[in-house]
Amino acid sequence: MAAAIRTNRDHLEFQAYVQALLDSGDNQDVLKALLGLDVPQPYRVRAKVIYSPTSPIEVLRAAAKKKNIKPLSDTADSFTYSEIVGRLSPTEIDVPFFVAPFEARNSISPRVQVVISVCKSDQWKVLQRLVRSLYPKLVPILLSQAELVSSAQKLRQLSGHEVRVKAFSAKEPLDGSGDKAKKSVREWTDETLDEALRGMKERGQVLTSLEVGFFPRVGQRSHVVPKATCKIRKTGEIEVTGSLQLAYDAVAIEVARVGERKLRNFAGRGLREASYKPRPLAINFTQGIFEDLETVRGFVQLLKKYSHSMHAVEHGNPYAHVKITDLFDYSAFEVWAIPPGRIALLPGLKASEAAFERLVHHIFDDFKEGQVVEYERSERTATAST
Amino acid sequence: MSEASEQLQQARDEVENYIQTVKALLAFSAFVIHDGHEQRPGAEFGFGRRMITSKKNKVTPSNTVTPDLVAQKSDGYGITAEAKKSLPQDQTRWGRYLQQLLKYDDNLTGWWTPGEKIPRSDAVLILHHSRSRAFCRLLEQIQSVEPESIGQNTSVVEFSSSNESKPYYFFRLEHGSISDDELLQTLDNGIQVPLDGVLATFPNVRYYDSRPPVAFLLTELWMGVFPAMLDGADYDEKLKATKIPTSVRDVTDELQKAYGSASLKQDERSVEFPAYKWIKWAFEKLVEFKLALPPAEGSDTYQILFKVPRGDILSRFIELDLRHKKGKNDREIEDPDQLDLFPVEED
Repeated sequence: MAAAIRTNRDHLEFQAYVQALLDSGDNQDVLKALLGLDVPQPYRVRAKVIYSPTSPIEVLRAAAKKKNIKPLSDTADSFTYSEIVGRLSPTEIDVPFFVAPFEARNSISPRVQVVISVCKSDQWKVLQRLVRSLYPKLVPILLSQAELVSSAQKLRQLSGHEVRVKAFSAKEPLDGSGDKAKKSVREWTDETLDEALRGMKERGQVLTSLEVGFFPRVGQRSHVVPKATCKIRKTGEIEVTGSLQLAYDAVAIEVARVGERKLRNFAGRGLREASYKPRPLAINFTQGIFEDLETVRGFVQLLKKYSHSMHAVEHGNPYAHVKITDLFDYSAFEVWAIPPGRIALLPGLKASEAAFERLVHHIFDDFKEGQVVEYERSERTATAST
Repeated sequence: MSEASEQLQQARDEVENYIQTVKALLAFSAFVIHDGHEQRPGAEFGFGRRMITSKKNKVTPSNTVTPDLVAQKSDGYGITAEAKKSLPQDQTRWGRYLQQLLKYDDNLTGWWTPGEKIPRSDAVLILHHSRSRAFCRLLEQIQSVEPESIGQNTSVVEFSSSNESKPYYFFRLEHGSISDDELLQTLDNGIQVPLDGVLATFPNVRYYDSRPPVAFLLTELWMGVFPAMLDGADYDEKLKATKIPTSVRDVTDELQKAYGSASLKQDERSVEFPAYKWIKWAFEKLVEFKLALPPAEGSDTYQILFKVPRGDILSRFIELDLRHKKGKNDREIEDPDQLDLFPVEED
């Protein structure tokens, strides 16, 4: 692994090197150069998988006309974004980034691309804000716990390495509060994925990020130094130390596949788009969570607090029936919580895949994770269930 | 509970009653046309279907009637029904429901059969259980005095929505009989139709051939229809709202397709709901509430002054409506700055 940078001069030289690298040919050349780059501390290769109903790069090119985004290259989709941060002592932060399409052999739609930056954490925060400001034209890939775990479980096979959990962040119930109040925890460990998952399950923890190390293997023996460590967040972000090639091939592509499948499943369900043929979804829970009236009431409160939305409670007891309009793009939904354990999501005239994803993950993150299925009498699992 | 809270709750109950009535009608339709596994052969149903009475009809001979529900189990049997989640307190006003049943208890024309006739049918009043016993007592009293005033094939089915762990609609025969043995036996014992099944089968049907409370309509418009029209609309700094030119006809057509008559199977006997005049009525309310500008003469295009209010939208519209009704009653001139019932979301 690369050494740390300590002097200001080295910082400037490394940043200039990265900018030169981002202008070192076409998209394939830049990606190849990034994948082979040794990144010194405190820099990291950070990546965010994003989706757009049109094309992420087109959205960013259009945004470049209004926002402080400048092209770094005539031949590749490399840019630098500048933002002034801090009120008392304003500082301009520049962050270089590259928008990489996935190769055709990966069979991932051009609607999904990955923003890659070699940067420090303050620069990354600036870039995150840019991406957020372009929602819902740019949509983050949000992973459920099940998707995060299932992606992680594939890493050993995909990477051909021993995969060990180095650290994770999670929410876990406060002692004695049942499921109602949660605290955030970050833990460091050195376990196999299965061991770590078992521990999380026993403690009722809900993952928010997972940091894994990829250890080269020869037969039954594993190296003691990882070839790469990779932090995967539920927000579709990946932070890599060491080999980006390994993390890109094993993690980014898997996140993109999962996200694309899910958003494609959410797409085209608004009544206008669906020629007024209803295409509702349901979230099923294994336990009868709505048998407890307090839980139904809690769920209604959760919907009332849904950010950037309008709501109307049409029924709150013993089942919940709430109208929600997403104020980002004015998608509308009827949400029914039906005992013993089902939520029906009925799309309105307009219901974008971005709004569907945001609503489902609001429920997953702040209420409980379930299985997304087509809502039909003869119920069948959706082609892309979460 | 204060008078204002009571009024608010009563208005919310009216909205709830409307939603429950639609779902109960769908549940009862499903019970008639479905055998538990699949739709029965020749089975159909429609809300507010135009049926023609016979020359011998005791109330309105050779005329058009529109029962809330016409459900045909097969080519040989069907049910016409009216549904009531609530009845007026004053029992002297219940007679009109008997009149309605008497109209439908007839050899009606308009069934989904080659000659539009059906060999056997019943006229059913589907009544919430809170009123069904009292109504049946009244019906029996009248029947003992004037047997001719109640039809031979008239019955009362009570319904209730269960608040148990799995919500369902419960239907049970309370008065009279049902000419179809299979349905009679089931209704006599009582039948549960799960809400989940009704919702999954008919996720989008939100209206039937009866006008909903205005707050229900306004909530639908404000949360689902107008937001979907915001693309390209201009924000008016002076009015502090986004002006959306909106035609009553266009909105009516879209609501019918999305949630009303056009979301069900239609033919020349089908009625249209929600009706144009209901939507026009709702738009006029928005003008009254200063949330829309009226159309030019000869046009039906209103300028909706869209803004995002805080809080529960249904409650907001109920409060606005109550306040305006009170204002009319008191003949007071309102000061719009005094109490803002439509405060907007701060960015």
